[in-house]
Amino acid sequence: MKKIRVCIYSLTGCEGCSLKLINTLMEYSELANIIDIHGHLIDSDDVIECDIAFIDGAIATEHDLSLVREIREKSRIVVALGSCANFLGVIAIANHVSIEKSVYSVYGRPLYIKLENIYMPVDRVIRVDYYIPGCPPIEEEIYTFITSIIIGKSFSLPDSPVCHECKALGLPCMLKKGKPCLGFITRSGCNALCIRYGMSCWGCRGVVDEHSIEKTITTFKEHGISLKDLRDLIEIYLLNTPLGKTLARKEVQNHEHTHT
Amino acid sequence: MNIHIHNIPRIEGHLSLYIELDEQLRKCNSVTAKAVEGPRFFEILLCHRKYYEVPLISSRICGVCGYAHTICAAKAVENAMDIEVSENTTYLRELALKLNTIESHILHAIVFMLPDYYGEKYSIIKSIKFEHSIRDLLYLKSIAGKILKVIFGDRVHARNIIPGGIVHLDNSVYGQAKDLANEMVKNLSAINEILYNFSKLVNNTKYYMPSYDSNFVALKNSYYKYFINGDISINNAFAISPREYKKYFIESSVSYSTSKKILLLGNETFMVGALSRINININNLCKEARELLTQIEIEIPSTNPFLIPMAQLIEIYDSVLKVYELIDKVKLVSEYNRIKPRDGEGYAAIEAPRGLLYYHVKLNREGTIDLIDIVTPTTQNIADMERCIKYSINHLLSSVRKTEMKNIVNIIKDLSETIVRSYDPCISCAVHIVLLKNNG
Repeated sequence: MKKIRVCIYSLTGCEGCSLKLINTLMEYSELANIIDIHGHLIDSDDVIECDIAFIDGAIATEHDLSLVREIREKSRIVVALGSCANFLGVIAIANHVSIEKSVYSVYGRPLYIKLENIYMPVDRVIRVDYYIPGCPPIEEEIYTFITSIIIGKSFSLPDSPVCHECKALGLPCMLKKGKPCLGFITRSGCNALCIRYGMSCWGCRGVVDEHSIEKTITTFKEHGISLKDLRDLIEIYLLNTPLGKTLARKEVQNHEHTHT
Repeated sequence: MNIHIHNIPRIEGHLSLYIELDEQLRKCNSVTAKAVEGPRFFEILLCHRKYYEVPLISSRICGVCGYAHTICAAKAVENAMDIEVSENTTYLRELALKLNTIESHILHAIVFMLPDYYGEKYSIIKSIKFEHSIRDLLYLKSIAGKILKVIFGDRVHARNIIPGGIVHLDNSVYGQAKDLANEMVKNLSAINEILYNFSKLVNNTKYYMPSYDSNFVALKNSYYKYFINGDISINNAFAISPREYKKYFIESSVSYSTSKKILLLGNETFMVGALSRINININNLCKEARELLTQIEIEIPSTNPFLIPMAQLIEIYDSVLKVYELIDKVKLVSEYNRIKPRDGEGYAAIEAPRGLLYYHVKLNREGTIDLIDIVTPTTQNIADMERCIKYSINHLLSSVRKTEMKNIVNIIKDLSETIVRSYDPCISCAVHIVLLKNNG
């Protein structure tokens, strides 16, 4: 059997997703026999022809931009891996501060690298075939994705919210405790990992499609949680989603005001 | 003549190297390392956040050492609020740092570094037929990850470590964690074989690095608190508290990079990381690890960067044995001090896998962050790395054999890349930041 060539590319980000992918390939050793893997963390940064290209991080620099275009040309399947590549995640904050002003106040001079005017998720520039969100993504989901591609089965993300997983596991509801939680709008698939460990859901897997902005606001109100708490929570991962753009922008601009 | 190495592979993040040589190729004039990633503005994201969110957000600065960021942030907040955590919490955090370090060191020493020693074509996870010892070490890494996952929720980012303690610990996984720790000990012998191969390599590199002198900095720690507590020791000569860090370590921004540089007293480069830690804390290693150090005949203290991967392997050895001991000492029971939000200023320093990590936070009365300042290991190492590369290129040029002269550019490239990789830089950590300073 011809080996499947998998490439891992990292844009601006923490590379935690690349490591998750590498961990997955090491964990499921049966994959190592059929996969031929390349990338920055393994051999080199050269973009080569491949079957599956995983991209983590967001497009922030000119180099990131030209890199994704080259990746698209040379890869059969392109996968956006992790929250930053999917919808900017924690990097979205960059679009809400005046980059030049901040950089100047800190470094005392402009940056030598050319930054894009705004940071972008991968699909703003190229066509993305599959999305695997999460900060970081779940190993089991990466595994399911790779095996689906290998055996020619279709792969799709769950379209129910984390709430359903909480209920199935019998976990106490954070909202009912009065704690800001985004589990009711966040895509499931993590088996409510954060809630199992005492956190509330911050929405790192992105928003499931059908939920409207009004519904989110009403749900928080119903549980006696303030709009400010909702905004604060959305600011972590979801700034670059329609929800974040509607709700959080003003808040972040205020931050910038007091601190630059 | 200029040599440019773009985007060095097999390091965490994106770094390019610019080397300037004179026309006759007799001297290296300058070496500059440039981080080529966009800044990620974590300080802005963290400002105005509630004190309890900070450890979990700052974890996202780094995919390799997220645990170190979480724990250091929690400690800085605790320091600001005058909170003492229990001995059990301290041991559990130490356990987390050890496991995180085992994962990070194996990634660096085996996946990133080994190809330098075995030649370019050799890549670890490309082939399932790797040698037993390498396979055993990768297995060890995977077990360390499993222990992190069962106790703290995930192997990359902790979910339950917060200011004041650790929550949602589940005593029913204790047996599983203990079995896994036991399994790690069984696979330890792999380290001896790899260390032996590394030491052969270091003998070969004496040609490039006869003596490189630098300063070394790490926490002065104790036997069980190897990563988590201690004052900051400089050259094992004297130690300062984390609060005094900025008096001794002075930051300068450089025009060419998104990462900043830190110099000791504003003018001297220094090294942080596994080798510095061993230099300073050799007596706090367990007996078996010290014996291993004697067997491979490396002289301590040293600041030869080629020894860093070996120091990491010694630390893996030490950490695995101590994880086994620590599991016996800890209880997996949630312990958490209820916190009443208050204002304050806090400092913390811990040993991340790659070296000293420093956090400084200012909280207001609501317990939200007004200012946060983070100094990562790589920010501290980068100036030393540049100086070391310049030193070794100059040494090479002064002693190069005529036959090698034809190929000198490639030799310089290989040498420089290997030195960069030895320092184990983490560029994601180094460029997380635009620092919002109160220049008062």
